[in-house]
Amino acid sequence: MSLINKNLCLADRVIRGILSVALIVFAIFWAEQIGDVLLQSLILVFAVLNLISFAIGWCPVYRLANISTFKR
Amino acid sequence: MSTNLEPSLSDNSLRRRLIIGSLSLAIAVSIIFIVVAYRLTSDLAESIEVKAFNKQFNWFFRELEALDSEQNKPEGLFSKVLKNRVYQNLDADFVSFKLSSNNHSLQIRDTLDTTEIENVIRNLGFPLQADGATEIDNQHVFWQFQRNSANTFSLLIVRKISSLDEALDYIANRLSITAFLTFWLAVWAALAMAAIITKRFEANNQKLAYLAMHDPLTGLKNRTYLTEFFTTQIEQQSVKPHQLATPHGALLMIDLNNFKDVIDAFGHATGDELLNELASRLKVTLVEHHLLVRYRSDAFVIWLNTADPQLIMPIVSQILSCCGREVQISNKQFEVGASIGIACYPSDGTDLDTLLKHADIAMFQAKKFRIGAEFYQKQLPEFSERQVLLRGQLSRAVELKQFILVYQPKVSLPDGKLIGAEALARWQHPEEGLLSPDSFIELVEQGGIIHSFSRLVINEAVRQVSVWLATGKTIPVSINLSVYNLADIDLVPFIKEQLEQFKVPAHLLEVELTESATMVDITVTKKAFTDLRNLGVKLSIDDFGTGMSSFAYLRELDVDFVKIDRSFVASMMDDKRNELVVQGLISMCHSMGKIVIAEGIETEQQAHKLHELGCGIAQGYYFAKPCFAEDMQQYMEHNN
Repeated sequence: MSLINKNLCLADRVIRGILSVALIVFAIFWAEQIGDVLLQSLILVFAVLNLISFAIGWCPVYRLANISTFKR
Repeated sequence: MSTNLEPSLSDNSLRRRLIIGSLSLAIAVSIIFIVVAYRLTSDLAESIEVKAFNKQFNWFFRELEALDSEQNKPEGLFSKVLKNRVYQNLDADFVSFKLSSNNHSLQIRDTLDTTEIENVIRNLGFPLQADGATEIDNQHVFWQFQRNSANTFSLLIVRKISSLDEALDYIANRLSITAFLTFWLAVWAALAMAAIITKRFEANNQKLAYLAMHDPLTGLKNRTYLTEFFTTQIEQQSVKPHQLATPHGALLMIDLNNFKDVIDAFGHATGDELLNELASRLKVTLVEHHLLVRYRSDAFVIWLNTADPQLIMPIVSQILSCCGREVQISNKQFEVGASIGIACYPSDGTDLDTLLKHADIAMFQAKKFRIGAEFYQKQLPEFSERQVLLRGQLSRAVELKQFILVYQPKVSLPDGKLIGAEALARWQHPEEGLLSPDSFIELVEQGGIIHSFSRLVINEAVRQVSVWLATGKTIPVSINLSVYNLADIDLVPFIKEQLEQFKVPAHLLEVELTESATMVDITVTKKAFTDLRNLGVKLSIDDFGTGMSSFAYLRELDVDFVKIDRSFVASMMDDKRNELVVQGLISMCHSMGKIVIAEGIETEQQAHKLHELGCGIAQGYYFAKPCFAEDMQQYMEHNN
């Protein structure tokens, strides 16, 4: 039995994965467009968290809200 | 018993609404902030740019005025401007720079068609000064026009607003990213808040649902649950077309026998503990698919999924056994016992009300005949049904004072001289007429209104003695009290108050103690008797010889009279052994210094025999039947 019960379906994970990569690229390569280090950091945090969710198939906010898109 | 009656409280719609509401709020707030921030920035940037443009224009105009004043002809100004490098290297934002005189016009920069602006100036009638903002070829521009006071030249400069657009693009870009992050945080916050609020809501809802369906004292299911259960589980299932077999079951009405005595004697806290203990025992007795409900104060209902008496009776025996075992509360031991009425589904009723009514009737039969448990029987319901109805009307009857007293004379033997009267209660029932105590006294004792009923009797008896006293007749009147009354600490003060109110000497009131119950501690009775005796009230033991504790009462209580039960008197003439018993009782009472009264004398022979045996006072139909107060008055006059 795994320690974390997955709560993301494939579509949810794919969307998070694409969004994460896009945001990381945007934050790194379009830093001038963002123009603020704080905003850039927040975007990166958001992207990395989503990337982790994409990788393990589990979202802590979904867990807190007792939501699951994962179909058993 | 587990059923699907527990309310389903996972309110997804509430969570969805909370999430949608929170997100909508976040979006609305973000939009408002972005719009306000954008407009504010736009206004600020435009204002700054206009001020900067005005300064530049004024500088050019003063320079041109200075050059013009040095020249005699306007043409000289134009040639000077053409030679000046400042005017050759104008800022790129100046899309038009036009210097005009009456005859000449010099366009230093003409990257934009300014005809539209010139038409505006013309329409204004070539004022000394004019300015504005407009859009030409999709380009935002400011323009300013000024004519010198000598009217030798005028200047029109048009400047594009490039820096404002750049600033707005930059701000819009930053705001968009901020809005995106804010929205992301708002989503997280909305989900978290929705989850927390929903959890709390669900917890409160579950608590409310639990309270609505459970008895707070015992934790058992309550009457509401029983109704829901029966409606959803039994009645609906039995009408389903695909149901192959009609469900069967039995409803057990369990009523505790002496619970009210415990409450009267030891208070509600003890009663609650007793109920809790019995509820725990009942829970242990039952298996999972049985439903146990606390129906009313001292009554439980059990639903069994079988109507087979062979399966029901072992459970009933277990219940009777567990309720009959003594309960220890605060170093006191109680034995209450239970009576159970059983109504089967669907043979004894197909709806809950009918089943409850029939189980109640059966329970009443079981209690009356002290047989523990009884199945409902259709051929015997009428009497019990009447008892159930009467029980429901008792409290109202006490309130409306429907109880009256009749008086049966007591006479001395052998002369038959009136020496007192016993007050007996009758119920003037609006539909059934005058009811004797046999019909209601047990219901009064069981129904928890014994105290108010007894007060009614005491009040009326004392009042009547005072009426007779007023007419010159001094006659003691005895009233019957239950041992339950003696646990009432307010009884003696009440009697004292009544005697004082009606100015009746205490020795004209007698209290007869009946033996309808035996559980109350003899010490409680003894204390009440001592208090009554100190008051001056006479005391007697009624129905002597019938109860298990008669001799204990005789030994422990300091009474004035002992009334031999009518059953001994009735059989005395036929059975020598009974005569010997009566003789023995009279002898014993005399030796203890008690006055003996014989009840139920119906024949002259009985009166003679009792006199021979040494009984000095008698009461019975042979001498006089119970009569109303007015008839008693006549009897007194006639007897004298």
